[in-house]
Amino acid sequence: MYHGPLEKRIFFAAGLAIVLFTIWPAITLFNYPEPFILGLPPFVFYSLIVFVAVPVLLLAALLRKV
Amino acid sequence: MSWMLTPAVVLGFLMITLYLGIRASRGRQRSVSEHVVAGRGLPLTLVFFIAVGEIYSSQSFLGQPGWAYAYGAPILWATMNGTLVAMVCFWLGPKIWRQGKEKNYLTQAQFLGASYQSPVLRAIVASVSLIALIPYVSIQIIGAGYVFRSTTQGRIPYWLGSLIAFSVVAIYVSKGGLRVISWVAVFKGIFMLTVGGVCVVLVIHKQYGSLTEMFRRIAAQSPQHLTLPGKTGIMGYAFWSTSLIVGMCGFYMWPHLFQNFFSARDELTIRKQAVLIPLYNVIGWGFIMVGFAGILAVKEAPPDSVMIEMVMRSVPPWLVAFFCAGALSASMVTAAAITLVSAATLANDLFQPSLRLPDEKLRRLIQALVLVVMSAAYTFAILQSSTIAFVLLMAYGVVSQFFPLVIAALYLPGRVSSASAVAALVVGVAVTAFFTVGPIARPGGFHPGFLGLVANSAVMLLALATGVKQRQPARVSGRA
Repeated sequence: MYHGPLEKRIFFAAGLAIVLFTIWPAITLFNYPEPFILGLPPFVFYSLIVFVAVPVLLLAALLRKV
Repeated sequence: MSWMLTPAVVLGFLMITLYLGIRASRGRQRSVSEHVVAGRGLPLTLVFFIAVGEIYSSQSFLGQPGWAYAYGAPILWATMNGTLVAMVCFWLGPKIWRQGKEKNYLTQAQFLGASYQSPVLRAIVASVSLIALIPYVSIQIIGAGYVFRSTTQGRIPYWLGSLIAFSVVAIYVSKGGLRVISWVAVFKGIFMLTVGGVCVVLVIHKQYGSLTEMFRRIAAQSPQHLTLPGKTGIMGYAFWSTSLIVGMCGFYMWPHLFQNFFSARDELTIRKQAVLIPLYNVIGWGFIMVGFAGILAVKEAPPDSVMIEMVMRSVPPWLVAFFCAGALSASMVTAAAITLVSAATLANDLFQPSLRLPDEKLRRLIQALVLVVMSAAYTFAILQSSTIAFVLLMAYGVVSQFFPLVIAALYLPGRVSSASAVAALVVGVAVTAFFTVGPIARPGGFHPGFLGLVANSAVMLLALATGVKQRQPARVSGRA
């Protein structure tokens, strides 16, 4: 399967974006006790986003052999 | 007699563990490679469950819920970090595995020593690793002792409970090495996933009805628990952010997790494992939710006891017994893996360069050192020396200082001299130590390990900019 430097960079950028999403200043968007998002406090909901984002990214990278 | 149920289940669990350990060690070729890295042939299931066993120690099951109870949201750092590091595993793991396979590396210290052609660096990395690892074994022993003591209302004293549990560990690790640990880890991983998962659901359901209702009540009565910097102001934005960076850099620099890469059958196995790790992390998130549940339900309890307290209030006694057995197994698998790596590092990186033992004798030395390491950790645990807390406080920041060296070894081979690598490591460790225990603690709210990483990386970059490269290759002695 083809994977060129551009594709590698795209995956690297996506991984970096996830990391940046977990630290300041992105974290300030969720640092409130209310209102709840999908039944959870914003910060607790925020902690779950990476549970989805990281496996999806890695699964895509695995399938693309990046 | 009802107090006997839990110890009976725990002892039964220990016997099953011992049986699995001895059974798995039969009929294998007895080489050092087989003993320490399972002959570099572990399939996905075993690699995954070893990683799970190493990552989810008693700290995950007892300590992190305790943090949620005492401080609130800042502990979500742990599960987010545990998920993010899967990316490090995915991209760095196969490269490390490849080098391990090509050059027959057994330990992290050997990898770094050979990459920079420096026996001195190898010895420094080995020494730092041992200083960081042995207190971790002690913490697991302490956790096991508490499980026995608390579930028997003190009838089995702390020292005896931990001695029983870790005698079992010492026997199967010494006899069978990593392959045995992997089978015990599978048992523990499945056991903990099912029992732990059921306990989390039952606790939340019985105490609050639903997660949303639980958080609604916490938001009304103690909203500080739901945001940074937490209930006691323990973690601001700077500390959160730098802790995540240190966590990402440092996680797979722990020698037992690094060495786990060497044991995989192939590169694809490591990548598949990286995809699966975050999924198992959900159970750790669930345990933290139980800690949140304790905020309104338990008044002024020691944080580490909140998990067991909530489980005892919410589930039938037989399930409490299984939960305690699971918590004990978490301690045992983590301690087993760390003890094996400590013994291998001691033998392979500190003794072998001068002893130059043949394969068979080196394996026997490692087996003997397993008992020595376990005895040392047990002694620390019984004394409950304040040194343990001191070392653990620094450990994560210190092992993360290996990260720039590993990156340079993988991506810029031959571009950094051994002297520069040693200097970078020493500077990084010194800066971390200074800002951990020195007169200026956490300046600007930054994690000390992050400041160490900045200093460490600055030295590496300076070496790259000034073009101080490695000289002629000089073979690092010892087992290759």
